[in-house]
Amino acid sequence: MSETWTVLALSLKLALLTAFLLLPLAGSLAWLTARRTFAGKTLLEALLLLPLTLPPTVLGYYLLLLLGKGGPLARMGLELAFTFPGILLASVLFNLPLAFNTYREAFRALDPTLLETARTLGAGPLKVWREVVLPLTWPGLLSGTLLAFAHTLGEFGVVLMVGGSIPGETKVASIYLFELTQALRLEEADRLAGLLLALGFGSALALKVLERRWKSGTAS
Amino acid sequence: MRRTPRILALALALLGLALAQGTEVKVAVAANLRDAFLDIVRAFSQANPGVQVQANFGSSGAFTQQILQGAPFDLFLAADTGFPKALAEKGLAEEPPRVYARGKLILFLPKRVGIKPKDLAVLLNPAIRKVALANPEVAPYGRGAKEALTQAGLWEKVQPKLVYGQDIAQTAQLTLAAADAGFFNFSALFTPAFRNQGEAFVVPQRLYTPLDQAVVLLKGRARPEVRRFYAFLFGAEARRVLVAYGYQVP
Repeated sequence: MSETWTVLALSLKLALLTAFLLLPLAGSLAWLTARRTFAGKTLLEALLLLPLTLPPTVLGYYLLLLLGKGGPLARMGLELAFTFPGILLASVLFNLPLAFNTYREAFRALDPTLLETARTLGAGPLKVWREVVLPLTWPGLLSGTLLAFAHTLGEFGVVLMVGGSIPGETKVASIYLFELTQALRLEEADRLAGLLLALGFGSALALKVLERRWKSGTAS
Repeated sequence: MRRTPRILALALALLGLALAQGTEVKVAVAANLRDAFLDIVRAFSQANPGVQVQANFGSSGAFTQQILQGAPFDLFLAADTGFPKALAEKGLAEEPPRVYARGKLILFLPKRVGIKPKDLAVLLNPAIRKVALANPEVAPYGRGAKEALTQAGLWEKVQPKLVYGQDIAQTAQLTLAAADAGFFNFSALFTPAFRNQGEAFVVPQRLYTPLDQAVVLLKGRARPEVRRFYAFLFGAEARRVLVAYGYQVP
């Protein structure tokens, strides 16, 4: 039983950190593509979508080559294969499209004249963010973060390829569940699957509630 | 409108062709056996051109789970005797499982590590940071490796270096791609991917329980072509292939 909690805690840690790191990363990219036009924008957007269209195992395969012993990062002294930072990097890349798309929609829905008005009224960039952008976009930003969080909990293929299933380090709940079913430890598998189902449903419900608030907020 | 009947006729003809191909043997095969098994199938097909052998490769634990859930396999060549026995105990075997080969365990160090292993203690070398092993709970070769390390008194010291693959094939791939050493099947050395890729040490047999591998003929699946392939597995030709891949045969 204690192992169930260890793997769940690790999954939650991975999901929280992924969501947290994606907020500034995907957020700034989303702001850039939602507000500006520049050369190569379509290419950048396609590249950001790539982790979503690739099979997770393909992403994992390339990451292992990148992070592994013979890889370029290892030669620079950065050994990330089979470590928590390694699966965190994988997870951030894997979830980038989800967070990015949701954030961009949130920023696009923002009326640009509001920003200009605030600026002409003498508000500095920080004040514009605090008093105009955030109050109007936070439900969208939060749902992107929540989506990345929930999606990380279900991540399997990428972690399978680069993780190495080390207890407390890279053995996350979805991998452990797979191992339990293979070992025919079905009672424990039942329990863990039930907990993951509850977490997943909780996240989905929270997303939908947020969406309703967001819709009613933008309509008024 | 005119084209429709012709397409229909073509579809029916293809369907008929597919049905005529009917004699197929579906086999679940432990990943360690991959290349040897393909050679056996080649030999079998020459003698029995009418029978198609369809092979699926994976971990014994995964196949056992799938068969328990009703996966339509005729034969299951496992990497140990425990999983076939578990299926037989659930009444899913046509007859008692039978040992067809005994495998050998090796410790493999990729070329880039630049060390030639002479014993298991090489794993204490600080240059070796990550050691790949198949999940001991589901993969018999992983279990063997854990036993050998324990017997050699190295388990405690090596454990912090261990990374786990889900089956023997993934463990071999992890070893080649990203780890400094790995435990897997001797027969993998005959795969082109491993040729001149590093150095192997054959783990002494006294350090681990023999890796006897059993095959089980699944309940209600003993059709004549299945029986024929089953018998072929224990014939001289199949045994010759297994020996060529470093397996011992009963």
